[in-house]
Amino acid sequence: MRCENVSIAGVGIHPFGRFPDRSYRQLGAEAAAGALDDAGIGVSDLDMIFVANVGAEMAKGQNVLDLLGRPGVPVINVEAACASSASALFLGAQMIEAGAADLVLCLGVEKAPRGFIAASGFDEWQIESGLGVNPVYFALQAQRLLLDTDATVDDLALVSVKNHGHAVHNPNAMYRKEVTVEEVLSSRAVCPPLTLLMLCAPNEGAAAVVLVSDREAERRGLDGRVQLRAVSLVSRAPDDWFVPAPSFRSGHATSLTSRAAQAAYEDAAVGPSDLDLVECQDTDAGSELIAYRDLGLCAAGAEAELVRSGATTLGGRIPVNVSGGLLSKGEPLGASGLGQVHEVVQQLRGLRGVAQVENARLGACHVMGAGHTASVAILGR
Amino acid sequence: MSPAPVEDLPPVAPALFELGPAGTLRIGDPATLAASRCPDCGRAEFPRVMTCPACGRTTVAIALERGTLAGSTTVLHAPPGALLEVPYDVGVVEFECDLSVLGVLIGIDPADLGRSVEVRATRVGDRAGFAFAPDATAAPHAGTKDELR
Repeated sequence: MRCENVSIAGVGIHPFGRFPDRSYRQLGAEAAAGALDDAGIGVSDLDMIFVANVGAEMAKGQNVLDLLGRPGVPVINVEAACASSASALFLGAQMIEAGAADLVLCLGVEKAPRGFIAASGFDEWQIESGLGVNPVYFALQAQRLLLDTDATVDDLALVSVKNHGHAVHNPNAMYRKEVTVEEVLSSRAVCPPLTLLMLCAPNEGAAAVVLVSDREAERRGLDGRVQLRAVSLVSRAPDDWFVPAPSFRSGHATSLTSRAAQAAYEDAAVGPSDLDLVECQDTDAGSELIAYRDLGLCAAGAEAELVRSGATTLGGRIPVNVSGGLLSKGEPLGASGLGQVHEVVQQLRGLRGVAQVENARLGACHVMGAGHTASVAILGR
Repeated sequence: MSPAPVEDLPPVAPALFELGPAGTLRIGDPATLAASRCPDCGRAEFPRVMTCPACGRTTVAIALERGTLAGSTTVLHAPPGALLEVPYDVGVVEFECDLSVLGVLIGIDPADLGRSVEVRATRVGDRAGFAFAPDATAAPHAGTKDELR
């Protein structure tokens, strides 16, 4: 969807990690309050609220909002696995573009248990047969990449090393320690070729944005805003394959990410070479390399070279996951996409200190979720 | 040593298999997966679907019995709800109808990509599921095609 009239008035975040003494409602309320403060508005100024979450109770958004105030406006809950908060962003932007709202809060929040994600849409027979295992899918994709290109397990480890290195500078990340290639390779094997440090950990956290229409921004005298240029959202096409599909079309598999990226680039009238930074769905190290190709950051076959060359490291040509990515932040499913938006907005505002991408003007956020949903958002200033 | 007892068990999901009149599967025997193919665009689907997700045509039934191991990994930590013990190998098997299916590997080195495999009934709790096992009809296996993994 092309956005001609939507900008980011404010962003907020609750750090990603594990918070045994805090409820998901508290996490969500803190991120939402942060975004409202950043926008300089109150909850009663909002026209509409979209709340993304995968695993909490019924009426989750309503229950989070009850801690913030009672604005009386529509609160709509959104779920699409790892693409939940991108879906909330998509809806909020649509409402503003359509003229149906001027100020929209999009909030993502999650309090996920440790370990394997238990309910990923697998059928009972898949689970009982030992096939309902998300890392199997990532491992098979990674193995395919290693077979088809010059990428090696060292390159997979390098992705993790890079993202952990970035996370040292992100106070909102769960893991903020540098790791070495050797440490990644010698961490516990999960599903070969993937080791524990090549996979993200489902965890807890929240992120929020306040979207504003141009007319409302002018009314309020909000200057220097980050613009949402485009946000795409795609679901499964006949030849896509991802969790939890038990089969796929041999040799013809298409890419949800490619389609989402293509749509977003077209709508924003930009190309991948125009981007200054990217936050992508690094559920595992292989997924990040595959995203390089599918987002058009490199040609097919050049994925490993891109990370090896340092191009995707802070200071390189096209830094990827300067936030530390999901590999270091952990992944609160319902909040991960808006967490990416938080990072890109802070980068475009020039507020990231030692982790600042120099002269960042255009950034992209990419998520892909179980059940076959992908989204790419393009933000610029 | 006495032979293993014959076990006829109901399937984990009846729609996955071509079943005989008894509606059961004999554990360890070859089994047939119930797939479908679009007469128009040729796309195959497993489990079987009535209409093609690409072109909407009514599909025809096809059976999956043997294919080629194209990918593999190993599950080392027990996933919630699985009725088998870790570690176990999972493979991707390409069938001739251009369809790739995920399944547990039995008696196959997961590094043996390119080898021929067949579908067999396997025990999943107190019911029968499917796994991929060495193809009894194939020429003796030549060895590892790829060192990866």
